[in-house]
This record gives sequence, structure tokens and C-alpha cells, in this order.
Amino acid sequence: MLVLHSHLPYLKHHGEVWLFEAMAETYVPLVMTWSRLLAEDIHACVTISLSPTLIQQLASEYIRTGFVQYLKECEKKARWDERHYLAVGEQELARVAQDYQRFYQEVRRSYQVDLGGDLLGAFKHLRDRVPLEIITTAATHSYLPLLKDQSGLERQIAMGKASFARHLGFEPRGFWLPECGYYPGIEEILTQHGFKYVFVDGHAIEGGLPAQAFSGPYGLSEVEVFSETGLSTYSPYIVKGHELKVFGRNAMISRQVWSKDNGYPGDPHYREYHKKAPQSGLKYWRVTDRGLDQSSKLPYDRGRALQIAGQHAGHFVKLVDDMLKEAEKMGYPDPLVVACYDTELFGHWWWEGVDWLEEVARQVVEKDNWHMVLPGRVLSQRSLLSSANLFESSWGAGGKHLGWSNNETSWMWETLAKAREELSRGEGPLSKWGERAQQQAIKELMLMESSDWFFMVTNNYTRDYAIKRFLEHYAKLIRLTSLVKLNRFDARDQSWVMKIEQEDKVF
Amino acid sequence: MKTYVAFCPHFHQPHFQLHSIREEVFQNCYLPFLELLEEMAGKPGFEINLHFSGPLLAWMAQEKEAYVGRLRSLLEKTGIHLVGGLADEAFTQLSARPDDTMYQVRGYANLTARFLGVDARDWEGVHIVEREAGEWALYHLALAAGSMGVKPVFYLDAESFWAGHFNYPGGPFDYCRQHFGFNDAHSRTTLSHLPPEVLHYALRDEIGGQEFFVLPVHTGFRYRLLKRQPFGAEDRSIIEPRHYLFYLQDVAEQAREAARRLGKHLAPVIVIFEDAEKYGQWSKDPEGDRAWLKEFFNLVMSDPNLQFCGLKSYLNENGFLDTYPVASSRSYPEWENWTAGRGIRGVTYGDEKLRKLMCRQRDLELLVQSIDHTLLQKLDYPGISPGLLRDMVLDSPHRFKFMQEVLSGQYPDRLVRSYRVIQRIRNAAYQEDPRWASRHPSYGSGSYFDLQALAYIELAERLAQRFLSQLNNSEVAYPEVSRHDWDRDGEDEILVKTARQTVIIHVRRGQVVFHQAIADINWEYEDLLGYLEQSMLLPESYPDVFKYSQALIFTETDSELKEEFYPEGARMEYCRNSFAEVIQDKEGRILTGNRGSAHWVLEKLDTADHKVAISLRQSIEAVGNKPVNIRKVFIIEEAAVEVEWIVEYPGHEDIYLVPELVTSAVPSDPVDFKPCSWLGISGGENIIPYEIAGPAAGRGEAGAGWEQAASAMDEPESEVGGQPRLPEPQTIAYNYITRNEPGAQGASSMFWEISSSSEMVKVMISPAVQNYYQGYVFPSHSRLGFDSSGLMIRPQIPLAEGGLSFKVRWSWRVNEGVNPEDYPNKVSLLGDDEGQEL
Repeated sequence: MLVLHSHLPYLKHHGEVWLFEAMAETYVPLVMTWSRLLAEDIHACVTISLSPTLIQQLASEYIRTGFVQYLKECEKKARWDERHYLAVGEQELARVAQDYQRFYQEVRRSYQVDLGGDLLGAFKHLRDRVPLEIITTAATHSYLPLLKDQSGLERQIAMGKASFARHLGFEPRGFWLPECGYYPGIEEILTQHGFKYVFVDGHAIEGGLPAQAFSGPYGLSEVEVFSETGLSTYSPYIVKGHELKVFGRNAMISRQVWSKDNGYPGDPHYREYHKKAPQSGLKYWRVTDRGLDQSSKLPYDRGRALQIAGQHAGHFVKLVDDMLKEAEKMGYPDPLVVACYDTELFGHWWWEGVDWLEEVARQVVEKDNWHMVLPGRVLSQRSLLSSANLFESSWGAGGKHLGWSNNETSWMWETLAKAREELSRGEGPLSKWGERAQQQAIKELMLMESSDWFFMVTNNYTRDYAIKRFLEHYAKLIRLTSLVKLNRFDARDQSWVMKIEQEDKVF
Repeated sequence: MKTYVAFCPHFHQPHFQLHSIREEVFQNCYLPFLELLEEMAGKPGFEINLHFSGPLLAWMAQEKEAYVGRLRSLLEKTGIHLVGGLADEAFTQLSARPDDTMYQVRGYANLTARFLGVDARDWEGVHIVEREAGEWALYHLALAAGSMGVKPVFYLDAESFWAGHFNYPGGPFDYCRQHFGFNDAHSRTTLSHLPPEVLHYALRDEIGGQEFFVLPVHTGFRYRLLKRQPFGAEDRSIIEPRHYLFYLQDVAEQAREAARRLGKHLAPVIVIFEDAEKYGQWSKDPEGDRAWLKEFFNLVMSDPNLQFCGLKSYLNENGFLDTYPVASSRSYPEWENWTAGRGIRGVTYGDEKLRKLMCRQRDLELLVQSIDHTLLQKLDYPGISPGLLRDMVLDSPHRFKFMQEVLSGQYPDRLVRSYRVIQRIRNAAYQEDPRWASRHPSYGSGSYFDLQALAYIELAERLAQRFLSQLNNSEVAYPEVSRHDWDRDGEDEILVKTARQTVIIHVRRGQVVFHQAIADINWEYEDLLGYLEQSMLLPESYPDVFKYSQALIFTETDSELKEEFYPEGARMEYCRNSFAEVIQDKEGRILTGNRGSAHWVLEKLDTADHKVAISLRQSIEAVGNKPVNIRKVFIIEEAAVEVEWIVEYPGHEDIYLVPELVTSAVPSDPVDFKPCSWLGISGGENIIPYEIAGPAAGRGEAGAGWEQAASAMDEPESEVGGQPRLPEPQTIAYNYITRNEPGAQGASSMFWEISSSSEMVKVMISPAVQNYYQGYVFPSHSRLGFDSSGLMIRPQIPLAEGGLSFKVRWSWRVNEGVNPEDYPNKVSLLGDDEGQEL
């Protein structure tokens, strides 16, 4: 079971390049690839989780128009890079620049001509034609185990679902727990909102050491070791005492793709993510050797990289093959391997990732002893499931909450609590503008709750941007709640509220 | 501002193309394409630029008269334009004569006027063969077009003719660094450059004062056109008409933006050039391609910003962007890799086999030059010296026309006609396909076309010899012998011409490198002339020239005979010639011989009793420090070649002489692809093994058939592995069937009569060449068999205890087979029993 979770925080009006990059490098190529497979009668089952923030942005006309401009700019940059590299005799880099021109033009053609500028429509279209299941997640992708606020939890789940249904025209059956963050008790809210299944990390079911035990900046002492349960991710379960079903992420399969040390994306032939051309910001080099400094990276060769991607796809398919055989030996008659990844890994982070996925799909279709499946279909075929108690857990470092709650982020959680407090102080009937401001303040709070900011601060990954965004939303919330308290809105206040409504129109 | 779209499909099949291919492409492409055009013609906004190659037009005129009539009607309609070109789709840059381009353009003008009713002045442009255009070709094309009132408008590849090229200090063109070891800080390109996106306008250039205009072709539009299938894992994209429209609009926007930066407010033009056969034939889906193309046409026609146009019409209405010289002497991008940037001349002279054809062309050209000299000497222009007149005429682009006029009125009509048909044959032999296709990695061998050209060249040469003798009031006398560097490799060959053969021997290599046989027919002058006229003035669709002449030694280069100089590419690959030899040990290892390094010395060259004797000798340090001294004597008779090896070897090692008796003659069946050939063997009491080697699976049906049939049919003592034991050969006859046209077939044969002072150990029989350019072209193209490369017979004779004498007399019968019953032992090489009865 291939599950791709697609999420970006709300970036509209806050620097959309990150979103455009993901659209160009991941979402459009992925949709085109699956369309092409479909045209060749290859029905590759995939579960796509679309976060409500991503959905809203993809639906936005502002983003759609901006994306085309962005692609044209990229083509232009690549064209200038090509000339620059030709002029200084860097033929190999000039060739890569040519590839970029072609790439961005093809993406633009696909987006404008094939998809009609409507990525959500394309996902829906694929859902109607291939075995594709689309699910959603929390409204602003908040890290639910630490939210500690029932109404906040309700909002995250209810508004996420409503936003999804409004844009996609149907109700999702599955719920992607942000960061696979699970805590006992969340089942009830999810079930109340009609969700049938979730995904958790493997150790939530199996116990033992979490897959991410050794990654991140934490020592082993901070990692919780979960007691072994004897259960396995080869099977779905029903959460004990509830109706909610659960699928466990397969640790080995995850590591094979994600691991920065042993995963595929670290291959010396793949494109290096971190080294950028000074003029354009485009990436012209290959990983070469992860131990080398940036100045020693060699020019990228896409042809060779694609060959490697093909080999890695073969390796992956064999790995699953072996794993399924092993599971059968262990007594699972109809074993399941659940592979969950962030969608943006493919293409955006791992440049050849979409090609790899395509090759995997092409190779799997050749297998006669196993095939790709969808969660809904699996559950409908398996009426009797064993029940399982799940551990409080996530897919983050340490297997629990460390990636979002630590010394670096404690002030953020405190600020979040204050913000919630501010929001709850509103009393009495509100004017029309007071209502609007109150609603917008709730959205600002929800934007503060995005797990992204916590993760970025923890990992020192564009930390400044995360802090800026977190505090910006907090400042807006403070001003909005102040206005609500006063319940008086002069023209300047109204204008500001309208501006903020447009700026942060997350729902 | 509108953007113009010049749609330019190129329709082409070469002279002598196979029957089945022509018919298939006609049904899949030419007919449905015409039907689509008939439907589109006259619709508002529809325009197209059609180019039909001369060879294709000639074939259509003879075989598809109704089609030509419909095409003629179509061309009368508004917006259906014709692009001019060359009569034979010839690489005139290979020719020795500057007037051939003029001749070609005029010839094509005659074809379009005669069959299509289109005057050359109405051509929308001029098609350049394979867009292979150095300065020489561009100058002569512009000159020829101009002289006929044709506006010289060409299309050339943007990527090669205006590719960005920049120099910089320390770069590959910093000659200061190269010569003196330090960077030249000023080694920078100063020439103004235009970016590729602006190359969507007409550009002007001039060479030698000849002005011409070029509309650049961008390769992307070629490859995306009708791209309805993925090209494999590397490119899985499928292009729909709406995608194609997107690219057009995109390019137009960029072109306009780039032109504005130059202050030019011109409407851009996008040239879509592609082989017409992509429609229907490549995909084998004419209906699908028709739907694609029609949708595309309609999309363009309904787009208010796009408009189809004619090439010349665009130029006349919009003018040109600027004078922007082409980066001349480059071929188009596809060629750069496999021609090492040396273009078609590099391909032709860089390949031993193709070079031979060119050298035969030169033989004929020298003979025509002698005719011209003789005629010019007889002219008397008061006040003009004969030398000046000769130089003026020979260098003139109007040479042929001038000489025709000299002949007309003053000389018998048969000479005028002869001059014309010789010119015709010479030009047709320059057609592009054999050279282009022969060595292109994707296209494999095109020998078939060259073999026909060689036959015509031989006959034309015989006609020219008689022509010249009539001018000189003399008789043609055979044998003719000359010694000179025939193939321009820096070493001498001996050329011998008798009434029934042309044989060429490379002296140092001691091999027959070329042989052309002539049938045993005593042509009257008028008969030979009449045949050539009937066959070649308008080249016959399915000529029967193999009845009269055949190249018997014109073998492919052989990947076994190569010298490699670079680990990843460059190498010399030699042809598998005849009457070479190797010295082998008992394990079959070659100790010496038959590589480029052979070193024969000419001892004697004599002519007596209408025979030519050539004696060569070589001393080889072969084994155990004992030299092997070999004398090889060739006796050239009127219709035979005798070769004797006299070998002295004082040593006692177990070594063998292995002469290589080679012919390139193969059966041919362009209709059903069921070639048929067999060997007849007669000999004495001594029974020896025959090793019959060949490709595990040959090319197509023929090869597969061989594998099954390649065993002795009458096996007196069949041995292990299906390899026969047969009498030590005294005569080996080779019989092969030639089907020249639907329903017509004949057999030809040749004979090796063998005598040896020592008993042979075995005889090895194999295709002459089993692989050429192995590892460089597709395996299926590289692999050759009895159907495609001819035959090699290698007897193995022991040398120990003093040496030996081995003699073989080789003769042939053109268009005359052998009675199978004369040979009790037969080995089928290709085809079935039924075929052998012929």
C-alpha cells in the first residue's frame, strides 16, 4: 500500500516559492505520471493525502496564475544559465540548464494544457479513473497529540474535513494523523466525524525501537523504547474499543527511501539538493559523495541518474517481494506492506523520485504474486480484524513528540497557550465586524498550530522563517482579539481586517 | 501581431528503392496524406509547402500516374505550395563537377514542370538534401536557383547553423594556451550572436556574392510532430495537437519578445519541417496520424494569432530579420556525433567501401573530362586560347549545358544522347540514400542502391569509352592497364579493364579490392545507348541492370579487420577483399596476413596475349624464425582472374596457407525477400570436412532460412554437428538468384577452379562479412549473412616441408545460372529446394 501525504503550510502571500517548487517538481509530474500510466492501462493504486492548507492554495486563482509566471521565470533563469555556462565553457552544466528549460516548459504545458491549471481537478479526475484514494488531515496540520484543547482538536478535524469536501466534492474516509502523531483518545473525535481509518508509525502497533530512533539531533537516551506487542504492520487492526481502523507504517520500507544515510536519495548520481547556482538558484550538481564539500560536487547527468532510479526501483520491488514472502512464512496469509511518505520527497527533495515511483509502478504491475492496494478496499475485504492497543507515538525522531516539543520549541507551546487564552476571552454579542475578526482570529490561531513551524525550529531548517510566521500570526491574533474585545471597528480597522482575511484566507 | 507557421513535409524514396517498401509507404503515407490535403485545400487559412524528391517523383510518374494527376490538381489550389529541390536528391557536394548542382536543380525543374505543371519560378523555396549545406553547396544552390529565376529560400537547422559558440581564456579554442601554455586574456568571442529564441525569422546571407535566405528549422518541432508514441523509457511523452499548439504559441511569444529587444517588430515564422513518411508509415497508423494532423491544422487555423504560410510568401510579405551568416560547413545536429562533424564527405571518404563507389564515379568523371577536352580542342573561337576556353567551360556551372550545345548540330545525334545519358547516370549515383543510410547507426547498410549505381556506372563508362574513341577515330582496345592511386589512399592500385570486367588490385595489400563484371553481350553502340536511355533518363522503377553488369567484389568493411586507436570510438575498419590470405597455425590462430599491414611488392606487370600478368612477392617472418616467402601471380583474362600462390617455407611447423576467395555477389529479392543461393562442388576422391559458418540468426527470414538449410543436401559422409564432408574441391560453383522486379527473375553464377600441390585439410565457407561496424550500429544492422554480404571460401592447405603451389581460376556468368545436376554435391546457402531448381 503506497500512501503519499501531501502537505505544505499556508504560504500564500507569505512567499509562495516553496509551494511553486513542490507543484512544479512533485505534484504536476506525479499527476502526469499517473495519467500516463493510466493511458498505458497501468492502474497503480496509490493513496494520496491532501492537507486542507494545500488544497486551499492549489484552488486559489492567485496561486494558479502565479505558478505559471513562476515557471516562465524558471525557464528564463535556466536559459540565462545555459548561456552563462556556454560562455565559460561549462558544457555539462549548460546541458543541465537545457534540461531545466525543457523541464519547466513541459511542466507549464502539462499544467496549462493537460490539467487546465487545476491540480485538484486533476487529482479528482485520476480518482475517478484509477484506483486512487484521496484522504485528508488536520485543517492546518497541527500536531494533535500536544494540542491539549478539545475545541481546538474539533476545529482541526472538522474544518479540515469540511474544507476538503468543499473543494473536492466528496467526504474523505481516511485521516492522515499529522506526523503520524497519535494519542489514545483521538479515535473518538475521528470516528464522530466519520473517518474510518488512520495511519500510524510501525512502533505504535509493534512496539520496540521506533524507526526514527537514531535520526535527528537527539541521543539514544531520549528515545523511548516501546514494549514489544507481538503484533505486526503486515496486517491492519481495529483500535481496541473503537471502530477506527489503523494501518501501521512499515519501518524497513520507510527507511529504505527516507534514510539520509542508506536511503536511495543519497546515491552519488542523484541530484544534489543543497548546492545551488549563484545566479539562478537552480541545482546543477550531483550528490557525488556526501562527505565532499559543496565546491567538489560534479555536474549532474540526468540520463545516468535515471538509470540508477530504475535500478533502485528494481531493488525496492524485490525488497517488498522478499518481505511479503517472509511475512507469509510468519503466518500472515495475506500480508500487507504499508509504505508512507511525504509526497514532496518525490521530485522536490529527491529530484528523481517521481521517475522512481513510475518505475516502481511499472515493475509492480509485472508481478503476479502481489499488487498495490488501497486502504478502503483492504478494509472492505477484511471484515474481521484483530484489535490493537496503540502507543502514543509519531513518526518523528524518538518515536514520540520530541520533534515538536523540546527545549527549542517550549516557548512556542507557551505562546500558543496564551493565544488560546486570548481567544477565549471574548464575551457578549459581537457586531458583524466583531464576528469577522473573531473568525479570523481563530484562523490565525490555527495557522500558529501548524506542526511545520515547530518542526522547522527544532531542526533549524529555515528556522527564522518559521519563527517569523508563528509570531506574525500571533501578532495578528492579538490585534484581532483586542478589536473583538472593544467590538468597535473604525474604517482603518475594517480595512485591516479585510486585508488579513485575504492574506490568511486559509479556509 | 500574427505568427506564421510554415509547414514543410518532405516526401522521399530513393532511386532503386525496394518494391514492397515503395508500395507500403504509398498506401500508408502518400495516398492518405494526399487525401487529407485534398480535404484541407481551399479552407481559409490553410497553406502548406510540399517537397517531393526527384527520385520519388520519377517513380510516381511511372507507377502512380493517377496520384500524380491528383497532386497536380491539388497544386493548382490556393495555399498548396511546392518546394523545389534536386532531381536525384543528390549530395552534389561529393561531386567533382561544379555544374552538377545546376544540372540537378534544372533537372528537378523539368520534373515539376512536366509532371506537376509547376514552373520553377513558382517554387516556394528550395529543399537542401538532408540540410547538409556547407558554403560550397549553399553557393551553388543559390547560383543555380538564381539563374532560373527561383528565389533562393532554404530551410536549415537552427541548432547547427547558428549554434551558440563562445570562446574564453583557457578554453578549447584558446590557441595561445595550446601553443604557448598560458591563457590569452583576450581570447573571447567578439562576434555578435543572436539567441536561439529569435531564430524564428527569415535570415539573409551571401556567399561569393550569391544572396540567399534561410528560415531556421528548430528540431523540437520535428520530433514533437505526430509524436503519438513514447520513444521508450528515455522519453515517454506523447504529444497531442493541443500540446503542439502550446509549443508554437510559446515559441512565438519568446521570438517576438526577443525581436523587440532588437527593435524589430516583425511577425515571426515557425518552420515545421519533417519527413512526410512520419505520417502513416512510421507509425503504421495512417488513420491515427490523420486525425492528429487534421486536428492540428484546425487548431492553427482557428487561432487568431497563428497563420499558415508559404516560405517565399512569408519572406515577400515580412522581409528578413538581418544578414546573419550561417555557421557553414556543419551538418545538422543528428549527424554531428556519428560523422565526427565531418559531414557527408567525411562519411563517404572515411569508409573504404563508400570511397570505392566515389572512385568509380571519379573514373567516369575523368572519362567525361577527356571527352570534354577533346570536344573543346576541336572548337575554334578566334581570339580565345583553347586553354582559356577549356578552363572556363570546365569550371562553369553551365558546363553540361554548354557541352550539350557544342555537341548538338555538329556531332551525330547518338553522341548528344550519349552525353546526356552519361550525365544522367553520374548524377543519379550521387543520390543521398546509400551514403546517408549505409553508415548511419540507425539505418544499416544501403548496398542495394550502390550496387545498381555501380552497374550503371560500368555501362556508362563503356559507352563513354566508345564515345571518346569515336571522337578520336580510334577503337577501344582491351585490356587497358594502368597503375595509379585509384582510391586516393596514398598507395597505388592496378586497374585492368577487359571487355568483360573491371578489376582493381591494391598492390601493397595484394588483394582485389574491386571487381565489376559485364555480361557476355556484344552490345552495338546503339543498343547500349538505347538501353541506358530507356533505363535511366527517367530512372526506371525496377531496373534489370544486374542482367548486364554486377559488382562481384565490393564487400562491406569487416569488424574482424579493424584497427582501433581510441578505446571508445575511432577505428579503421577494412573491407573484406578477395584473394587475400592468412597463415594459420593448426589451432586456427592467424599468425599473419590480411590486415592493413600486409606488404606486397610488385615484381612484374606485363601484358601479353590479351592477358595481364601481375606478380607480387612478400616475405613474412612467420614461425620459428623461418620466413614464409610467397609469390602471388594474378593473370587477368578477358573474363576470368587467375591467382597462384607459390609459397616457400623451409620450416617444419604445422602451419597453413588459407587463401580467401571472396565475392560480394548476393541473391536479391526486393519483392518477397526470399533470396536463394547455393554452392555446387565437384572434386576427386579425397573427402575432407567443410566448415560452414554463419550468423546464428541472419537478417530476417532469409537468415533464418539459411540456418535451417545450411547443410549439405547430398551428404555422402555427413559428420557431427551437421557439418558435411565432401570431396576436396576442384571446382566450386556459386549460383544465386536475382529478382529485379515483380515476377522477373534470373540466376547468375561464378566458379572457382582450384588446383593445389598439397591436399587441403578442410574448406571453410562463411558469409564474406559477418559483422560490420560491430558495436557501433544496432546489432541487427551490424550482422550480415549470405543474403547481404556475399560469400567467403577459405581452403586450408598445409605449408610444412617446403611450401606449396595453390592456384585458383575465377570466372563468372552474369545472368546465367548453373544446372544443379552438373554438381553432385550441393550446399544450400539461402532459400529452399524449389528455389534451387531455377
